[in-house]
Amino acid sequence: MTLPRLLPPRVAQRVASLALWIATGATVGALLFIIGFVVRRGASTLSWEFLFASPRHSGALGGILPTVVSTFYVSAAAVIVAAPLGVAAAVYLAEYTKESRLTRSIRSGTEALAGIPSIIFGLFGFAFFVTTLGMGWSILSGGLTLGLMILPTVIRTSEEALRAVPRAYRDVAQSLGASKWQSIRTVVLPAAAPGVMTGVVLGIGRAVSETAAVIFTAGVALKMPWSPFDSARTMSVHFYTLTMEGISDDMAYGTATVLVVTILVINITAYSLMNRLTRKYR
Amino acid sequence: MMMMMRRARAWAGTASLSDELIERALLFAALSAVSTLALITLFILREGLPVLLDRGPLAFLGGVRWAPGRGHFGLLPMIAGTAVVTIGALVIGVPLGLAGAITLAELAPRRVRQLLKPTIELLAGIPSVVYGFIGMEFLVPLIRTGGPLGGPGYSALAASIILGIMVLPTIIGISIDALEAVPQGYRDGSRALGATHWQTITGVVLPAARSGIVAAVILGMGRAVGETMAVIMVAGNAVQFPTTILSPVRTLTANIALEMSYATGAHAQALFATGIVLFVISLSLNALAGVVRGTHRGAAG
Amino acid sequence: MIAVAHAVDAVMIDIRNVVIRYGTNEILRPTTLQVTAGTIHGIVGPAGSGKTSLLRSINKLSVERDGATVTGSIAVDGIDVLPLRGEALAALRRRVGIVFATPQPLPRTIFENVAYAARVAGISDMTTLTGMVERALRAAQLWDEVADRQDLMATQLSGGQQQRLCIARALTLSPSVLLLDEPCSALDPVTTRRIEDTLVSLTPAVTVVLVTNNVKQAERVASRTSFFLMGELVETAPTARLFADAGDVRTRDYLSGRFG
Repeated sequence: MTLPRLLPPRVAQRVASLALWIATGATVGALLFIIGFVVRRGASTLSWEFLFASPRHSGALGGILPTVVSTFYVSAAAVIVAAPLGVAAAVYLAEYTKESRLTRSIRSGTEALAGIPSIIFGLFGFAFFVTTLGMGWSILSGGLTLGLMILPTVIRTSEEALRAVPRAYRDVAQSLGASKWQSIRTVVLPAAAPGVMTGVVLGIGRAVSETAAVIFTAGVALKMPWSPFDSARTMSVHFYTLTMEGISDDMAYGTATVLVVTILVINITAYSLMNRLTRKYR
Repeated sequence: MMMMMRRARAWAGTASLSDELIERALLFAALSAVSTLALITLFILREGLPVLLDRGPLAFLGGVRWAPGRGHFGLLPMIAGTAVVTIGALVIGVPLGLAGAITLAELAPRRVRQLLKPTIELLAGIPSVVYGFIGMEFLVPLIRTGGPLGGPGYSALAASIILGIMVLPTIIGISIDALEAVPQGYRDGSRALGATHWQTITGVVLPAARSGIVAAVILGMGRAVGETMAVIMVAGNAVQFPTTILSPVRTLTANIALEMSYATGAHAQALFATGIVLFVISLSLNALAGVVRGTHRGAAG
Repeated sequence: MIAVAHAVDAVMIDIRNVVIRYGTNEILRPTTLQVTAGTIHGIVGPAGSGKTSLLRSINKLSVERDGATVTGSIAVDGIDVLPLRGEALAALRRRVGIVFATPQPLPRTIFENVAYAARVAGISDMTTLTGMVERALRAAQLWDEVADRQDLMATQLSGGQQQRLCIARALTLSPSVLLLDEPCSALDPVTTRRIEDTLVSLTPAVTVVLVTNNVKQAERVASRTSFFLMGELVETAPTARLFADAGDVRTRDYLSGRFG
């Protein structure tokens, strides 16, 4: 691939570099602008009352406590479903099976499912959990749906992390008398832990920011949830509702700020976790 | 030594039993995970296929009228909506994304890259409703009143721009991986022959990373196709063919989301059928990206 | 090291008609070989002769980890190895230690590396563990260098020290057999000498099988040596006789450096 010589090479280089840097700056700038804009206007709404009070007048006044709690419950339910199941499945696939057509198709299957639009999971959750199983709009429906949604990602990242552990570790452990499971538990899993945990934490992040799949499974009830069968409105759904129904700009910005900050904290935790554990175990 | 052997033997029964139990439990987990995901696929197929087969896939996909109240289930306007918005997103996202990837992978000093790459990945985690909101607050009024564009503001253009920004992290991230995977020897060889940095990038590095970059674009496309909330907030959601970039459009994803809560009977099935269409599109794009990546792995050696 | 009483010239490892295959590929043709208890047995030969596969079959690592098919019989101190599975196999591996060609410390401290085998065997009492670790480190001649920094990450040791750590790690449970697969191939001559001295000092309590691509090393430390070529055991003899006046011409050629 050679481009026609419009400019002498040295000049072309300078022009190209400049253009690239401008484009990159624009990209990073746009992304930062979005966060900055939301947080700046929303920060003024933030207060203890905002976080810990209940909403009044459909959310136009008061706080967002129920939504924060709901977000926590739904995400927790999703992780309780996806993390043990996903990591265990990944351990089996990575450690107990040989590379074969079956494992390869399972792997491409999970990879494909990781890319399915979230609305499809919402559709499934609505038809299956809410309607067919009769769980109605509830934290349980929402949590199970989200759990299934992040399951492929957890399996994929965990399997990658396990396969990245040097072969020699297993050789050494088993040659010293460890059984297969002992070698996995004491050597392989600890070594793969950074990658596995990062995958789980990123899954949590995805669950927290998800709207489409949640709105049709957990519902929109703006009250404090007391049981897993209660309908609950998460922060992202609340933000969406406030925005689309024009209830209150200030509340919307405030909610968005809490949401964005939460996700940033989750993602930063994931990365620093990965860095720190990698340093400890390499 | 002998004492240890005796102790080990006494312990022997329990140890191997629990090992086997654990293996069974892990197998169970793997089977559950795999079968649950298969279950979802089958469920969607079961709910959506009847109406798809009943009216014929061609009539469904090619039908130009979507009026569930009167039994019309033509998806073409929404397919057109998704297509326009996705292509628009790529028009914005690919040049910017590629530029960003090249800058970070080839031009930026290591420190800058180590700072910016995670930053961009972090920004991928922003909820889509926030992007949609910014679109609503800024972009839509801007398009409507801010210049020569006009129209209702809620348009394919707005959706394209927002989606273009949303797919940037995906495209940049995977492209950077593809560029970093190009062996340093290629660059060294090119520079040794007298090429400038930029000539090396265009002449050697980009061609070598080509399939990885194409895969990145395809996966970015997949993200754009699957996006729901941000699109609903800025695209206008009118069931019509987009005549210009300023027309309001409705995408396949928006179609499902907007009508799911009150659809019944054949209407609900039609939404599942729409889901099947999205499923197939998404799987195909994923498979395509995999194939494209696979050919690269073969060629690079 | 605990002195284990064996009759002089007792056979510790009895290998009979062992064939090793990977899929349909036959790596080792029928091989019969005895290793005398309390001695160092050298195994030499060019790459691809099946030496490593045979060594890794003695603790069944080749079957479990590499996917090899091994037929025939391998007996260690009277116990037939090949049918062993599960806990019995783990018990065998506590009696047969192995050291690999490249030092592979586990990502943990020096102490925990050496203590690993004991912990896995169910020993958790710190006093016991400390004693076992010290004994193993002394046997590997590494104690003087690391005694006061056992909490250091094992990866921070030099290559030679790491390999001696791997030897110590394999000795923690006082195995009766120690297998070594080209342990000095990545090490400098001084460290190599130290390790050879260590191996000699381990006998007669421990029976040592040493696979090496350095024939001089076998000449230095092994009392008996076997020569393998292209998957076939050519001959076994007391080291001195093998080097001075081997029976097979191929052995003579290899040992004199005419090929390999």
